[in-house]
Amino acid sequence: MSKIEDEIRGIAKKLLEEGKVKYFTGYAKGPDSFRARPIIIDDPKDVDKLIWSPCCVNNLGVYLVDEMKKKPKRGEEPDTRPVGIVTKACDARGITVLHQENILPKERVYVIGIPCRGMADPEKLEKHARKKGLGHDAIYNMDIKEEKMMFTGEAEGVKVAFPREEVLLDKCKECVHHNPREYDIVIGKRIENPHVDKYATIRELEDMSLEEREKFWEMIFERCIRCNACKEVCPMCYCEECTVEKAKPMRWCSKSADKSNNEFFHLIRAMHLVGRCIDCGECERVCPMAIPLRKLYRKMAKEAEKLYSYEAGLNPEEDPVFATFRVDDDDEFE
Amino acid sequence: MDDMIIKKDKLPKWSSELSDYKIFAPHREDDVVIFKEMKNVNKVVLHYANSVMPPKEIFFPQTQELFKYEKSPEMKVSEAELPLEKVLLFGVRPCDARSFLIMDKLFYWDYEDHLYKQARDNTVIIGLTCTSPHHNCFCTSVGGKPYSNEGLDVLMTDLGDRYYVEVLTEKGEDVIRKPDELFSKPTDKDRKERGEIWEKAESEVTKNVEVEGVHDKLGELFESKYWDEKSRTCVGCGICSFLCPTCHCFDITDEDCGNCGRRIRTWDTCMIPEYTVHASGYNPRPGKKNRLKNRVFHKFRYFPDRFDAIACVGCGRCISKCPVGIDIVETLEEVKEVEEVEE
Repeated sequence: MSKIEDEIRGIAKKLLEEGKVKYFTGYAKGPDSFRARPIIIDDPKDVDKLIWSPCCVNNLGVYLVDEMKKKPKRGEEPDTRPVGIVTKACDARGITVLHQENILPKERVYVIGIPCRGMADPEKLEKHARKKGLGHDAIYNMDIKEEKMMFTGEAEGVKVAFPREEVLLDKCKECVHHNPREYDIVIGKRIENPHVDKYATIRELEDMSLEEREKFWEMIFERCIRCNACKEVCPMCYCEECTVEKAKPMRWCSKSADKSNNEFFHLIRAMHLVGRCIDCGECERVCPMAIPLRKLYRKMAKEAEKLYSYEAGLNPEEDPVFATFRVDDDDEFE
Repeated sequence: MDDMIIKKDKLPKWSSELSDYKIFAPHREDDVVIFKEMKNVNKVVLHYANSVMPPKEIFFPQTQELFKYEKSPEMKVSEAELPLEKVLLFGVRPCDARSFLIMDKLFYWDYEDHLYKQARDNTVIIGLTCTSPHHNCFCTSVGGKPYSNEGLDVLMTDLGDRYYVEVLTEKGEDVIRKPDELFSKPTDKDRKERGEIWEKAESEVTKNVEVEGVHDKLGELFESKYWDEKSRTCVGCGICSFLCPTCHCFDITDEDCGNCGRRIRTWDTCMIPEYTVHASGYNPRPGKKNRLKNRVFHKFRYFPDRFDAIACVGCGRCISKCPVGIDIVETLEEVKEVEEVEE
């Protein structure tokens, strides 16, 4: 058990025992060795189910939005104690955006922030494990070895190491914010932020001609099955009724899963995430059809940075980019 | 028809003999394997555990036009054209083939769905034995086998440089073209090899659950707190149902463009609130617990009650792709263990 895992359990136990939090949201062992999964616990006895590993990919912030949407039963006093939550640096920035947008008051959440060097892509991990003869149920004790920057594990007594770069999630390779900024308590040492190209994923697309880009996205959008997973895992998609589902007074987006409507769906989402997407990459990770969604949102983030020197979730005191106006803002329609 | 052998290098020739069919086969696009119309036999992928999307779309398209209309004084309505072309579905895994028989029960039930039936009748299905099952596969728990031939017209088994071909129906016989030139008779060695591969594949399906008793137990758990607990981390997306080979729910909407329009049916999922919301705004399945429970109940209780079959073929897609790791096999195990405390 890692030191961080130990500390998470300790804090969760204390918070739950003292009734300081309504419940605690963290990570537990997943259905196979390649994935952890979210867990919500109420009982301090259950804290041993909490884990910390390179498989803790989910952005748990999505459950905070769920919490804020809950309506108390008639006649019942609402329980407004904070919710305890484990966050990586990216997830914590998501919580900052929710604060900024007045969706989640600060006193409703107790954030455990963890400096993070990146998480493992479950699909890459599975491929690598297979190559090395590791089954999904092999005894598999993974830890992040900071100095070597390797994901190491053990299977049937044989030590196996994965080169970090090869199993890392793409978004983590492009991450320049390894340390959470807003938290109630932080676990682990501060990590120096790397100098990497945070917009690497869109460079190739930017070099393409308009026609080439159109062709690229057409083929990809055609594949979309509109399962809505991208928006359901997104903490920023918190509307009570999503515009793509709205049927009255008129339907903006048809239920036809065709190129045109799929494109409309994805572009609406992209427009609604400008200056809000914190690149947790959950949408891209969960997409069953491998749609490179980050490319859309990173492009929009880059535009917001270029035009307004704004990056999402960095400063809780700042107004959201689209909720503010400065006289010197770029105005190309003038 | 007797069993046969075809060398792998004869596949291009075989496919060229089948030009009267529109052929759908597994293709790799970026990182996903999906069934697409085959233009070039060399682009077909045959080494994969299973396609991300089941081939149900061939019979039950995600978006299907029912009719078009024009709001003129005489109100012109033109019905959707029947899918008449002959289709060959190549490389279907046995679990997915069994799903077609399950879908048939629904689509041929109180109303015979003519669009679905036409597509089914026009299609020949060539299956491919599953030789390396994924760790989330559990077909053997729900009545399947990696080499099951149920729902197939032809079953092929990969023997390395050649396929063992078993023709199962008359429809299957039609796709065996130029038997003397392209196919040969299997030897005892071929038969033995196939048997070994079948046995090995079956032993590799290690995920399992005893479904006996689940149906009755679910009956006791409609009001159980278990569903509150289980659904707590569900994000309410449609991955589990859209990737499910047996999920068959659809919505009917109009695409209205002023004086004309069309009525379409599109896949729907019981995992979203819009699925059950009434015109009044009331929703009988208001929470994630109601919806997740419904999906499990539908597969393992309602469908068996009505059609005497479990609506799950054990393909494992919902387990592999669930964003939050909800595992149906684990859920069923837990269902069997839940002890209801009387309050």
